[in-house]
Amino acid sequence: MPYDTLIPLIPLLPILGFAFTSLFGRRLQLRYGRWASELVPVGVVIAAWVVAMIVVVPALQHQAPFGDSGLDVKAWTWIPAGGLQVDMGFHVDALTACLLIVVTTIGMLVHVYSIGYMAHDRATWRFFAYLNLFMVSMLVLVLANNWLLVFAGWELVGLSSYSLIGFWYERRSAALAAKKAFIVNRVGDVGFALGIMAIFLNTGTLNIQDSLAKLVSQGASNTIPLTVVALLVFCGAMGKSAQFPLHVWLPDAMEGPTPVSALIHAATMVNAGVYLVARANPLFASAQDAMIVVAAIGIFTAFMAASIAFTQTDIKRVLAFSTLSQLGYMFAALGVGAFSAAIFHLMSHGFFKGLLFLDSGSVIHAVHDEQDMNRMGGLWRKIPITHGTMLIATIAISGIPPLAGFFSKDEILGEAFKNGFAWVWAIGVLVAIMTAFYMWRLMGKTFYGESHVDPSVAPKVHESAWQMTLPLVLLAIPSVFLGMAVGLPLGNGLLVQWLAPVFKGAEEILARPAAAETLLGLPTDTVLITISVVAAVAGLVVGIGLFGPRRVRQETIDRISSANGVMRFAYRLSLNKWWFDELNDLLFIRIGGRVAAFLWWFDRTIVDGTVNGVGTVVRDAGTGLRQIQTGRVQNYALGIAIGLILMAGSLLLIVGQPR
Amino acid sequence: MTGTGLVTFITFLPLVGAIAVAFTSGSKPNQARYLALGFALVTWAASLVMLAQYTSNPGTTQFIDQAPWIPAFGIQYKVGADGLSAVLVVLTTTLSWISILASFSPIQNRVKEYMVSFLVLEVGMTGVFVAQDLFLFYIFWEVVLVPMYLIIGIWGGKNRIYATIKFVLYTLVGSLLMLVAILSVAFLYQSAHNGSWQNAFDLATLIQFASQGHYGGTFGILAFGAFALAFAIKVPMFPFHTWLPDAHVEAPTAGSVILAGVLLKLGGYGFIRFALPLFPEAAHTWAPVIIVLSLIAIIYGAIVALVQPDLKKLVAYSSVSHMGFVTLGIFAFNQQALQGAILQMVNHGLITGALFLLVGVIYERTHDRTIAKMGGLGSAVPVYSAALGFFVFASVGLPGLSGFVGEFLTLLGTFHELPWAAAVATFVMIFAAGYLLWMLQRVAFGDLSEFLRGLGDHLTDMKPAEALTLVPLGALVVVFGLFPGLILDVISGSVQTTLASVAQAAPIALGLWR
Repeated sequence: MPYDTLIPLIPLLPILGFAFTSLFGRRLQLRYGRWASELVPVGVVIAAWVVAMIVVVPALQHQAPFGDSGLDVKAWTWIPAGGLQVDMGFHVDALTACLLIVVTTIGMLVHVYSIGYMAHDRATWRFFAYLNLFMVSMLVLVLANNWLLVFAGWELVGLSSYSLIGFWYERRSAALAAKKAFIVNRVGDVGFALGIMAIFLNTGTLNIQDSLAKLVSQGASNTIPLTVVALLVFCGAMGKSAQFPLHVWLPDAMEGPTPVSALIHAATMVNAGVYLVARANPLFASAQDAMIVVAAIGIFTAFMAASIAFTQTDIKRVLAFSTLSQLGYMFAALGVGAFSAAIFHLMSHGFFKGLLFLDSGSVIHAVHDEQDMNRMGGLWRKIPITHGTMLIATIAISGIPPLAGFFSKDEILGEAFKNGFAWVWAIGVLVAIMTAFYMWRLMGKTFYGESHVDPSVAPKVHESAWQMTLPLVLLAIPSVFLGMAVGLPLGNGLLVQWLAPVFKGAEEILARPAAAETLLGLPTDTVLITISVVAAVAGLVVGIGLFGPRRVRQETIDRISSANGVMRFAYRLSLNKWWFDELNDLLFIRIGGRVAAFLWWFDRTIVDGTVNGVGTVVRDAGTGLRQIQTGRVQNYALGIAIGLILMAGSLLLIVGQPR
Repeated sequence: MTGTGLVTFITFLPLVGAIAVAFTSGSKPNQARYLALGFALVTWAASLVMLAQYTSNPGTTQFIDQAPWIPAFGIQYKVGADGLSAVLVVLTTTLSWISILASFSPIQNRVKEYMVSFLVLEVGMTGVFVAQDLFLFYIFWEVVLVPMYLIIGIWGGKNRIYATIKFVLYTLVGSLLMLVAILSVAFLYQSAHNGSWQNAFDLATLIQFASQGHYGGTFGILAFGAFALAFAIKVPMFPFHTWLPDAHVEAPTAGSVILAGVLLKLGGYGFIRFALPLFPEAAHTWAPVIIVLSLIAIIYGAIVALVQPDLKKLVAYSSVSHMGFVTLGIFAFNQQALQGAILQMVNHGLITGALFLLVGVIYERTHDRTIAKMGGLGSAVPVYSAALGFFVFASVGLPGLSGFVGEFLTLLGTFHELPWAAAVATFVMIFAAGYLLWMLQRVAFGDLSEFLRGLGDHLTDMKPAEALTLVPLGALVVVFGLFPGLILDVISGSVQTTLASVAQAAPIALGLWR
């Protein structure tokens, strides 16, 4: 197989789709209808999926020509600048392959789904052009063989996210959310960019594989310490994967159309940070302090976001905070050195969270663009496919065996415990309980109990078109089976074997001793699994109790949430999302705005004032000196005389000085 | 005269055009318009030929045309081009025809005089980039001022007289000091050669002379300061930048395009071509000052751009920020940084030029540039808004478009020498996204504003002629984003020569700083 041509083809196909659709999409849509403008962008993504699958299968199995280290393909030299040569080049190994599966599969399904979801929109061609652009960016990001090209994909992902969040740009909230997403991401990008510069300074190359090998072998003799480099790279990951304190953009990003939330803000783009850290695993393994930061920020984000999800009433925002929380799990996994567990969770989360978002889109569609769960309820009979698939995804994310989420989440928690991060494990278990609870709250408020749907809409509620339900069913399959397929036997499943060569570097550096075989007299794994399952079930039971088919009355919930001062504070903390938006508003809009306004005043008054002042002085001096030009010879003679006396006097003084 | 005459042809063809346009009838403005455009296009084509020839055989200064001019003082007419000159000449000729085309509709009075001014302006700008004799360089440098003075002063906005006088006086202050420095440099050479004026203004000779350390010490510090002031005002560097917003706001659209696209580059070019190789030691001594001022300009320009109420002022302050990268890259004395700085000059010319054209397009319809009065252009004029979005993201430094490579190379090279300076400069990534996207949101998104709705049918989308001015710029932005090697390969020779001249030098430790 000529992989050298196939690999560049994967991003090239959506590039062509993007170019074609942005140039001709509008005309096609006007002349022949929607389908004409949708044919090419959807077609190229399906084609890209096919090509990707052809590449993925041998890459995962380490067959020739991929082997253990992967295959490098160079298209052309992008930036030739003296000692710096940056290729437009790609690298495919097992890690890339895992990401390719997630990106192209979910990407393809979301494209199909969008045909149905956007059927009533004015400019679908524009939507599909942006979607194609996103596919290009994301594929470049995961395929790149050098840091700068990763960064290029990184920024382009930011652009396509910006365009898609702000797709309904007439809506002020959408325009604001888009801008916020881009700028908050850029904060992280500054760190990433500096990290790339530091890598180049340390190693003299931007090729990922070469630079990592050099960074590790140089160890302490790197000019910029590895901890600093790792933390800078992690800054970028925090932005894109919305980790505390850069998480604020993701909930607002839900202003975009729901397929966008599913594809970009659940399944792919937000995984970029996880991918980045996993890709740089030898670097992080050599900087253990940075690893602890990663783990701490990850597990804290997991907890914080889960606590916020408790009280949100917008169905998509609950899912957004859930995404933050699950991404937190992934970073916790990376931080404790469980790299393949992180990628495992990335994949399973990609599928079931993508499914949850597409389901929520189907719900929103059914109740005519209502997103408030307080105005839903009792929908399960009316939209059975949506309900069924969403139930599967909920069980999967809750971590109930044998669905996908159980395997990946359990692997993270187990590794954390066994690698000596008991605190990460403990918080992780707590978050698992919380996850099951808030997910069931979402299910209960949406599908069960009595209907709170607007009476004028209620009779019209119906299941979505096949373009929308088909992707739901297809995504439900991996949500159920992915764990069983690649996660068994536990801790040494197929996925672990596939990824082993990628993470070999980190494993060797970390060289963790084997964990104790037994705990409390039982095999450690058995104890840990039991605790995980009990936690998930506990959360689920409480959730069902409060919000299940026989839900308790709202007053009971109100009574619990206002029982005492602590509960009231916790409730407000959660409802107001820990006041982060208010804090940022104060820091950057109020204080930052003042600073900018002051500097402009400074520019006009001090800097330009000085310039104009010089001008005025010169002009006034001219006006003043003109008085001397009297035209009277006597005055001039006097001047000459005074001048002569002064000159002669000073000459005498100077000459008369003793040497 | 010896030489191929190619560079001379490119330089003076617009002058021939100016004379021809001057003979057209004032009552038939279209004659002047098309004649000027024709001459600009032919000049452009000739400059492309030069670039192509140079690219096929890159290296040192080529196409040298030489003739004695004032033999008594060794002053000659000597022009030629190396990679840096060639690239900037093509930038000039490209923006010139685009500007002339973009003036067809907005300029309706004194069309003939306007076109003459523009063509003369092109002579001056091209001349600066090709002059190989210091005196000749100075002449071209000052020639640029006169037509620009007229363009702002006659065809400008309400406050044009203040703006144009400020522009001319400010620039003149710098360039007169530079003239003193030029003369003293020549005098030193002459006195070291037993009073012979032979080649005393010849750039190559003087650089050779300088490399033997003749322009060191206090003289170097002062002479460099005089050159640097002239260039710093042109760039403009903080705190010499305040003429720029005024000039931009009052200048007609095409004037702004040339001002941002080419005139600011004269400063950067001057640093690379003259200040560095003539005074390598002094350059090292001054470098900390210039780097700090560059960093201030980068951050300060971006922050001040945030709060600008006027579209043109916003773009003007963004220029201050972007040009800060140029001076930062030049004074990092590093291959990547310098290549990045030159790339940044070209990219800034293309992108900011396009942004000014876009502001001009909307101004022609609204006769207002207040951002607060805009809003909702996206649904009213989609093609215009798409173009605006494209160039905004190019200016933000999106990878895949040209702005990114220049900025990143500058930062990368600077990081190599001064990590902290690069770290500070990198933060502008956030501010740039801030002011540009905020502007885009307020102008293009949301509902159509009251003010714009009041315009009714006047608010039309882009016309083909307007699109024609933007499409070439957009295409170049994409091409240079994906294939920056097209420029990097051409300039790498000049970059190495420049760096070699400063590489061995050490900063002068003088009482001046103590």
